[in-house]
Amino acid sequence: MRTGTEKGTGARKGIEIKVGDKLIGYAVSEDLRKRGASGGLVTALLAAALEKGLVDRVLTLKKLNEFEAVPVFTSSVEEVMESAGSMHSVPVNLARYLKPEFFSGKIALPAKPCDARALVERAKRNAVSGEASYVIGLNCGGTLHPETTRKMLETVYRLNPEEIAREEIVRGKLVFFTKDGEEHAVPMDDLEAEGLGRREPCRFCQVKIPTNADLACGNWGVIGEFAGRGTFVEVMTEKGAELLRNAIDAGFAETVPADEKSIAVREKVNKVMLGMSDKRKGEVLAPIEGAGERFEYFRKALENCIHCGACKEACPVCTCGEASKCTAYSSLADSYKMSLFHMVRFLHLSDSCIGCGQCEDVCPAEIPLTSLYQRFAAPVKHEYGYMPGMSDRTPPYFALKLENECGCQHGHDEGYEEGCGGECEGAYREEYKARYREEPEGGCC
Amino acid sequence: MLKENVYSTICPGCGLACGLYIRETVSGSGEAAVSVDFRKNSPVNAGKLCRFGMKLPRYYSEPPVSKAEGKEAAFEEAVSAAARALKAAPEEGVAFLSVGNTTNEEQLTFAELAAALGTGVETGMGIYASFPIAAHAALSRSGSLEQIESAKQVFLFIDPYVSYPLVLRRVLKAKENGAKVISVGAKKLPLADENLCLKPREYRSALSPVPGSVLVADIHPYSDPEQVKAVLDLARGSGAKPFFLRPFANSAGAGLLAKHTWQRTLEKLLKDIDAGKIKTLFCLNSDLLELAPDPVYAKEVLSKLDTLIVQASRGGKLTELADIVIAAEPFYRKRGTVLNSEGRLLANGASSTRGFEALAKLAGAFGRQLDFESVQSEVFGAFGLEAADEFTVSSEVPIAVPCEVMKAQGSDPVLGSGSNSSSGSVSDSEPWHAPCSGIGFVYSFNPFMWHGVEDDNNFVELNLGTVQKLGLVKGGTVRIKAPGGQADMRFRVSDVADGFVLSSKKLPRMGFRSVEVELSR
Repeated sequence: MRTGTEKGTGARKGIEIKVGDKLIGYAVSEDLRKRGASGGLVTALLAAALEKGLVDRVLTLKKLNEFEAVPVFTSSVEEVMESAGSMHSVPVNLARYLKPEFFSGKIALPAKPCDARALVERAKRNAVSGEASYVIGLNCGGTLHPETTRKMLETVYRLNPEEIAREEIVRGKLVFFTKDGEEHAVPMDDLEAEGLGRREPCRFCQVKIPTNADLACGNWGVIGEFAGRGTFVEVMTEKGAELLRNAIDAGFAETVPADEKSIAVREKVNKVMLGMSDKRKGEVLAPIEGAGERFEYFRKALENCIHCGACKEACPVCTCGEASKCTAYSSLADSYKMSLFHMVRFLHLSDSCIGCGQCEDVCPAEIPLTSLYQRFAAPVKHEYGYMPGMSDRTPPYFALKLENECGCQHGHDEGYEEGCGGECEGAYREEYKARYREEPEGGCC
Repeated sequence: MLKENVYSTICPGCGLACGLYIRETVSGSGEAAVSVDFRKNSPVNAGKLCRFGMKLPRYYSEPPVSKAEGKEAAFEEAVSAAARALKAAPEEGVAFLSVGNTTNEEQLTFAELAAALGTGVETGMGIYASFPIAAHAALSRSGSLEQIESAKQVFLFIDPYVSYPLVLRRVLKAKENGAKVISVGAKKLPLADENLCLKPREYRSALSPVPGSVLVADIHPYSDPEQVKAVLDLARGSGAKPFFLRPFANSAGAGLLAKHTWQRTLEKLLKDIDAGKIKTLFCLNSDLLELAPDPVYAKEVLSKLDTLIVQASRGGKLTELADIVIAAEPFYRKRGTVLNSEGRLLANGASSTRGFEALAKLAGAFGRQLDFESVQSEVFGAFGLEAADEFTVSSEVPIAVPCEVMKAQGSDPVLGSGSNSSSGSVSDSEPWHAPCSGIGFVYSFNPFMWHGVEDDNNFVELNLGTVQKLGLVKGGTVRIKAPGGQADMRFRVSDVADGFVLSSKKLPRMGFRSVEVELSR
């Protein structure tokens, strides 16, 4: 039997890679295949980009232990190699670290959907250069807070964190591999029923495959002989094709075309994940009827705020820096029922919050800020069918015309199914496909 | 091109010792700027930081400069000058102060140096002088923060929102787990099920903790001994567990290593300097000007010293005043450990021993040869531990009965201070209905005050009734007349009990004692 991950069996130098290709890839280096998740393709892509000068630096996670890593910029191929492996318990958003003062030259980074979405929002605000960043998207079903992970290990898995060699999420189960070679798996549903498992914002996240990145990589759809040893990669942009060609030409990676079954499995997994998210979204972000009730809900939810400002600092889409309206026009001396800091941030985030959960991860008062921002924005987002961070060509919805070119006033969300046949049809279809990976049944309006 | 170094470190803001990363960006010209990043794997705070933690770049904004004989000097020269000054210091006229703003390894080396000169290290915790030695173990009692989460009832004698914000999430978790939260203080707390404004002597009659309750209080340089005694009595009588928080990252370590001896209040220390009993003072990362109730008086007093030696990780008014400054590395670059208020030994994940080496060299000048490894080993031994991230102080230490509160050495017990204390010199009339004259001025102690870091806290808090009674105008000021002077302050309307005005900012000439003030437009 051919083992696809053996060097020399896949696509090599000179292969035609084009936008829209769906492939299975893996690292050529056996060491990297062992260290990296799913065949080590992502690490190989990053390392090759550095090695061949496609980029000047890589933004990656420097691993301290299984539950801790620090985002660092590096131009060392070796350091990139050492960053290999999945780290579901290190829920950082790398886009926040791409600041203008660090953005010299070309940069490559791995990106969960929320990292990629944050990058798009930062690019819209000229805080990063879209052209100079190579974004290797990673499918994501959710991440875990390390504090929760430790608690799970202690109370559910009955394992010492020191014993853990690596972890993976496989077919809905969170699997810990201990240093003695044993596997310990518990269904994510069971963990979440206990208030453990994924971070709350991941549970209602609306993007699982980062189609807004240059490449969309992951293990969904990697079946048969490649299972556990390859990465499904979809080429989303010309830059993505360049990354892949570069890695193949440099002898770092090989690919084979994904077959129909793999493609179908990947779409199915995505659809199932999105379905679960939609259900959770319905529970957490349900509209609150009545202006008085709405205000009281938000006021009460924010009453324990200590105004540390960590939510703003951690926010990857906030690009205001020191000149922020939310801080400049707010004072601890104010006696308002809800601080101007929050009021301004709610408005500011209503067209840009990508739901990454960084704000509530760092909130010392445990305020579910991501849910609050999303709930606040939900009615208008629905009205305009707007999803932040998916396209840098879509302006913030405050800038959208109230009427589409065809004269209708409909948004392009999944909720609109009656067709008017107007010119907005194309935009609607594009957004629907980006999210659901299939053609919409109905039309835009 | 900018270079970036990332340090896994500990917040120096309070005794919880939260974990974080400091990102140090060094420009081409060598200028360093720091920013804060979140360390979500930290066992203490899970990456969450309070307002002070987020403002750490301000804390680290002024690096110290070494000085000898009042003039800028090289580091080694400053260390040599300090050795000469200590050798020339009159016997019994030298004092050493370190409140716990540095590592255990530096603290222990400082203690060795002090011992070589026949004295001990002051930690400023005068509270220990107010209790018999048998009661000290109970004051050092602590437990894990997780213990708060599983408590049946939580009694708060501090304001967690202001004083120790990273305790807030633990109390919220306790509440989520079904605990009742009772706050004892001058301000209503949103998370409390019950808010009571009580004097310490009323605790026993008004509060009935069930077994399995936790009493969250604090010990700091201006603690009210009556309040601390009342909390201990309440714990002893009910079986509840006291949890004493502390204001400096290594307060607990400094206290244990000093064996809670040689403790004068900071006021007494200043009085002794003023009286000429202390001629040479060596401060280790302890800014007495920031810590003193009245910095103007403190500066006058410190100017009377023959020699003021300061070893500091930050510049400031004290280093300006000092004759000798040993400019150590910032805390985030230090190698060493701190013992937090839980009794958890935490490693500061950096590698510099510059500050330690300076102290070791000074100790060496007095015949004590110390190296980092052996000192660290001694620290571990003192706490009965083999590695960092372990707990040392057993929560099962029995609570000795603190007889009567003793009079602190040479000074009256400090009254009515304490982060959330409503006790002290407030009028004996029912405090919820006190008139606008005879209002109790109470500080909400917080890290910004302890460390002299600027914040948006230039206001006082009053309740709506007081504001209306005084006819104060929105956006205007309130005049506060105290025995030492007066101040016009902005105000915020809060759920403060009648008869109180709260401040999170140190006001000139107000002192740290709770005083009666008069309020007017």
